[in-house]
Amino acid sequence: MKRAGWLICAGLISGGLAACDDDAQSDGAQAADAGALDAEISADAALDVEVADAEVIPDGAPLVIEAPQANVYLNDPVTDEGALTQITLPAVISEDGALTSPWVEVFNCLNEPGGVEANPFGNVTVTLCHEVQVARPDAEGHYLHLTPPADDADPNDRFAELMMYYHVNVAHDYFSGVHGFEGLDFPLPALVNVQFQVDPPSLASVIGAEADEDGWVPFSNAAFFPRESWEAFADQFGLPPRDTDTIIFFQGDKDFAYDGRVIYHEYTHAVVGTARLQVPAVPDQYGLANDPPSMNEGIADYFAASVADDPTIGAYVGVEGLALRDLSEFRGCPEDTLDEVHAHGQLIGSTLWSIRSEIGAAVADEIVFRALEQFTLSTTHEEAAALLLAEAAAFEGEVLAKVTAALEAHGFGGCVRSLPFAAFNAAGSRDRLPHIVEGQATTGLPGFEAVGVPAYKQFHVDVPEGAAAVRLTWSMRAGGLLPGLGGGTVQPLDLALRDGEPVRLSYENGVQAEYDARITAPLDGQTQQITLGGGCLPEAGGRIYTLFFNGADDAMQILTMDIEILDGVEGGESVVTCQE
Amino acid sequence: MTRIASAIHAALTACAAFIGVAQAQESAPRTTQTPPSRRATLEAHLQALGGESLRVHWSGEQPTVITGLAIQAPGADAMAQAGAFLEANALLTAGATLVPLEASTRRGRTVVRLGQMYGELPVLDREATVTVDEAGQIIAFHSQAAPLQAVKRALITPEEAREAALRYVLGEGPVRPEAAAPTIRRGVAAVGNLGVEIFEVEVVRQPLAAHIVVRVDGHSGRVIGVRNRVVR
Repeated sequence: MKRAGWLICAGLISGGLAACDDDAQSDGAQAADAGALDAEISADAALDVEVADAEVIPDGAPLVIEAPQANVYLNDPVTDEGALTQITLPAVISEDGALTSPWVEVFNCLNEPGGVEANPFGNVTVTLCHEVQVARPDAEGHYLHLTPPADDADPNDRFAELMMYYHVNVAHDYFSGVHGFEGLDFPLPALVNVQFQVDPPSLASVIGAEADEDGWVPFSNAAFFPRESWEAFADQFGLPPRDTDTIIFFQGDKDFAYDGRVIYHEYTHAVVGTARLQVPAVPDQYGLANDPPSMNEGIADYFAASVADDPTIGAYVGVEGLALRDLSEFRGCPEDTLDEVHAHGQLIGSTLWSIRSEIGAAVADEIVFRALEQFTLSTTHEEAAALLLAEAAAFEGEVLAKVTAALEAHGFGGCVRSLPFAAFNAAGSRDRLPHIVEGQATTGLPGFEAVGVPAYKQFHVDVPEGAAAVRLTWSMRAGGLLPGLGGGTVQPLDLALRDGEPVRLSYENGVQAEYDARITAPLDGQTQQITLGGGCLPEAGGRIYTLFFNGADDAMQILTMDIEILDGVEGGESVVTCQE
Repeated sequence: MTRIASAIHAALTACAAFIGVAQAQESAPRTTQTPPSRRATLEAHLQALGGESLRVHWSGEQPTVITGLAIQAPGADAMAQAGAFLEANALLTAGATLVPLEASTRRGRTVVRLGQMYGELPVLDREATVTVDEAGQIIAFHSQAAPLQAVKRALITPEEAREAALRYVLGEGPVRPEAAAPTIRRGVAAVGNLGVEIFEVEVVRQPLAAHIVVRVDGHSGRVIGVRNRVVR
């Protein structure tokens, strides 16, 4: 199956999108919403809900049985070609048949009054949808009456609850049964159909959202919401405590709870937790490395795919009929080094899928899980590779050799992070993502004031012998990947050059960068252009490395790049010669 | 004609503002005092620790992943054994202070997670894991811990940090009272062997979707980092 690319990120380029998520995200609809902490859930709440077209609420009191039947998508509506499969659900532990098992407690979040009011802005009131368990069994104790609604955008449907219940139990049974993982042996709260309401609706744009006439804002996404954030949220808004993590599935034009692998992905985030792979950027010799959060995403993809035994992620929630990601597509370093974490996570995702294909799911999954257990907040690709190899060495046969070969083939854990400086257009690129150069206010790292914040990767130019000059051009927009933060005026980037080897950064006693020349090209609107000649270019031809540095607070997105090798230079053109 | 642009972000010009030097617990030589020989010294030390299966991944002068160990460490449980291992091998972290955070056991193997401290403050993003097998042997060590030579002292108050964070996330407009009490965490952010006291302020911009952790440099009062804690 083809991958959707990062269409969902097109909004990043054109404006508005929050972050490129594993899940498609509709333009402008990025606010959230939430769950209400309404501890008083009435037992007959289901009867108060507007029923989806396809649903029929059975008469009679619900009956709780040991082996309730239900119809679900085993994967998602696209992969299953719309066909539901009758399965036996894990028995619920609630007295009224609400979808709670020992491993998940599923809440709907209804577009009706009763949700918590939040207000991060002075002139906009944001009210969360109403968190309540709605789905109930029929008089025989089955859930077969819960079927997909006529409109996937239905904000109150109970089929989403059913899908979440089934697939979270699948994910739990995998991690518990295969790996003996006990960290989520409790009813993990899982919210579906999450939206929020903005009052007045006309001011939804204040938070970058588009609301319907009633103020409800759709949001196409899913997320792992850590306990610590709930504490901060509750503390800030005076809400009741909730002492566990939560997974949250929002409701946009599609219902993300219908995609089983997206559920597995978010569940894996909960397994990884908040003590691993959280640090946004690690400074290394080539610049900044976004390995930790990228591996968090890539490993979530890997286990989602492994549970499903299919490398395709997000077949349903992708856009234009294409899946979000396909781990069977080769991704290697440096050629697939990207700056957005889900996209960059495909590097480890694809590497691990290759390993799985070579040595089988059982051994591969065990190696990955055992290595993951030892990861820290800021484990890098190289360190992950070292831990994967150590775990592979514990297995007999050719396992170690095959894991080693796969890691090397993908350049995982040991590559020069530099791409050719080539014609580039983010909107037309495979992943539809710009290159990012973080700013002084975005990395979380001190000490870059004097040198500037380096980019995530370098770009090299192979200068042919006899070239008179090389003209480099790039255009930008301000702002990183967090919606509505930063994004002021475009500021010029500096470009450092080094002949024959990468620009090298080191960090003892302060940030230091080794380069031959550093140039601030003039900014014309959103574009910088520089023509290199003379001493900037190796006389006999050869490779020069370049690295962008950002001295501004805001991150910069590089939207386009171009390179021209010139035989000569027009009289009026300014040429940088790198002479003292 | 290679040039070296040195940031040292005012370390050399504002020494008075630094808290000082190493932590009291540090016993090993600091990186800056022994750079040329540190790796060689460590390699010799590691050679003595492990056998043929020993593998070491280096980040510069620092071993960040050591696997293939089989060291019996004293202690009643894995956390104590990890502590004993680190105490006996302080060279591995150049004496950086690590405190145990948690231990998780699965199928007989325990991974002990440790966090670096600078005095009473956690050094954010710098942690280590020590893996202990069922027999109580240390089998692996993974760490980003490294000693800090100096840390810039905070010159702003937590309240000023909170205001800076709220301004960054919510703008200059009126802020309602419920948005005015975000969680604040204090710690040290470091690059290399230099750090700065910081405040991390978590601000809810979009409930459940955008919970922004703002890192404020306590010395300069500037915002130096923003990230969404909600993982998608």
